[in-house]
Amino acid sequence: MRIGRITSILFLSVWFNQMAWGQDDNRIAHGKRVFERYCTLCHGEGLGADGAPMLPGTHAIYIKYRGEVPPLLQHRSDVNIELVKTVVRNGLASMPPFRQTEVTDSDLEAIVAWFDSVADE
Amino acid sequence: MAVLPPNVSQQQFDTAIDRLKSVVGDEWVFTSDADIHAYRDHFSYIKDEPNELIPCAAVGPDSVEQVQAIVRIANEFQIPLYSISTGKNFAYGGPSPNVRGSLTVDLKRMDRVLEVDDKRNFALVEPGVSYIDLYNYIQERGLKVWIDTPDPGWGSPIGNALDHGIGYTLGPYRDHFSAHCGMEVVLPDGEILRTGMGAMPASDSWQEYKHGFGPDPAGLFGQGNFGIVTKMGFRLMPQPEHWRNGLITVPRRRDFIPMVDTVNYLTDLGMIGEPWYSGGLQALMNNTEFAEAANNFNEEEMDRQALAAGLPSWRVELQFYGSEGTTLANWEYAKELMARNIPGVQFTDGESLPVPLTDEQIQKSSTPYESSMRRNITQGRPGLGIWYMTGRTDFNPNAWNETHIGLFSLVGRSGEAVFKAQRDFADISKRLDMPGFFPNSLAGPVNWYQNSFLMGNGFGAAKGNSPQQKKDATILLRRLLEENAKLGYGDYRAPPILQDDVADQYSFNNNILRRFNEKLKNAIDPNGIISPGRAGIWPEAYADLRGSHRED
Repeated sequence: MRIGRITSILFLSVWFNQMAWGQDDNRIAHGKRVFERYCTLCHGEGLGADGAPMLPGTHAIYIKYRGEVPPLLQHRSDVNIELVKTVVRNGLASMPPFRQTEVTDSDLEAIVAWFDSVADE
Repeated sequence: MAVLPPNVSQQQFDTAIDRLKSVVGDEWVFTSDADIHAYRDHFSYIKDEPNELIPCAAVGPDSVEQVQAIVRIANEFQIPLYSISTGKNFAYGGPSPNVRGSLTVDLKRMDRVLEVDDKRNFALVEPGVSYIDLYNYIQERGLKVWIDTPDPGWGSPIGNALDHGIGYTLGPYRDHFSAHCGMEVVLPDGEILRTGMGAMPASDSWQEYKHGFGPDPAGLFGQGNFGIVTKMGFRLMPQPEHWRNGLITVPRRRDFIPMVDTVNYLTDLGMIGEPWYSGGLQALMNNTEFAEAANNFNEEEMDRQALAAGLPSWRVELQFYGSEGTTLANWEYAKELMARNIPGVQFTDGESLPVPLTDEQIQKSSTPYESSMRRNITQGRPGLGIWYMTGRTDFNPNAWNETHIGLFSLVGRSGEAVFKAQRDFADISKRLDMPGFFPNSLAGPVNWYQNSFLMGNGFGAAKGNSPQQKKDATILLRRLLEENAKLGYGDYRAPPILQDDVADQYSFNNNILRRFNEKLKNAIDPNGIISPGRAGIWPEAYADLRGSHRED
């Protein structure tokens, strides 16, 4: 009886863990999708227009920090949800703010989860 | 920062907000300062001023039925609405309304691509769909149609078309409003109207025949305030098999006249995409002798120096869509016509590429179309690369250019008209002591709209980014609009703070056009709730606000 209970607890624990892992994976995948829809054309990889070495957002970060931080957001270790919300909701320099109808706070959390997952790799 | 709609009490406002929440859900009604911040114009010339055009709140419907319910609540509480699609109309006010305290109807959540047909070549979309979304939808499904995108491409086909925006491929598609075919509109009383064949419920031709039967009111919804557009069809260009470009240069200043005539001929025969004109003598402006000649329109001296420097006076880059054979034939024909009309004309064969172009072909900077930004948009590929012009770069490392406001004025589509406009804009600029880009004899037109030229002027009117400098610039632009209009140059599009001023200049028969629109407005929208003041059309309910953005 006791062994059966322990087995059940172990099974449930593994199941919940897998659920949590699954939820995390979904969240990370969602974050990546939202980032690609709204952010990558400015903050992605690749060449910028007309000879610019990077896309505009990536280049702006590069110019501002001159190598102190990686220009790609997903490679930075100092980008947390508070920073992302502040910049996205208020805009920064020539980047205008984005509205809740475009990216919700939950979307932003998913983006940061994706950043974290990439940084862990 | 919180503001109320005009003539609405806090209690009435709170009740209206509760009603809106019951329609769309609490999470889609935005009243906090933090949320409202994103509905301000990030580049506003009156940011943080008491008259800044900020909304009282925003509401994000997800369906046409919710839009109808919002319109009915607005009528009940007499709250002015301002609808946005993706809200990216920067330089033309962004998401900000015409009336401070309006309720912004944010249609971004209505972002469904309802249909794309690559045999009949059309799309039907909702307002929240961006050019990027529509492009991705087409690419993911391997459909063989192109969109015609503005630059940047994060705006909405509906929003851009309704503000008479433009693109860069073939003429019929570049004029985004004219390329629309069929729309669905929530009228000011909450009823739904469909234009064209959408008026016949069983029709299969909504996106193919825009006129329907009888008068077509679709034009009222472009730069208008007669309803909220919730669906819109667009004609799409079939993906061509081949793209080719070529450069034509002419030696003398006056050669521009036959050059334009010839390009017009090719354009109106549907043989070329957007032609890109530019002056060829900009490099000589560092030479004070040449600069003096150019600024004083001394054509003989300009020609002499151009010849001595071996530079062409004018260039036009042409692009051709079709098959390898037809694009070659059209290019050869363009060369033949130009050679017939202009002694000394020279040609540079460009590239001849199968479509779709690769990223490497887009990035290539060979002549013509050295600009990857331009190559991108000639292929109907939306991007945000143009944002480098305002963003932080090596040339602009510590600041950003907040002063991107100016005029694009309609000019006759001929070389003679461009020459006259150059002189007129230069004279006016001198008279008004305009700072910024000085229009001179090298300024060329843009041929975004197939049948007309636009010429930029008034850019760089602000001497800096301080509030006073922006006020001064706005006053200057108003004077510029007046002076331009005396000579027949009208602006095609404007931010809310200049819309009354632009509308004033369309003054034939004591501004009958505006008076006619306002008669319609008052009849259709008796409470004046739909975007009062847009394009200078003020309903009686808000008529006292006409011109209220003007600085004394």
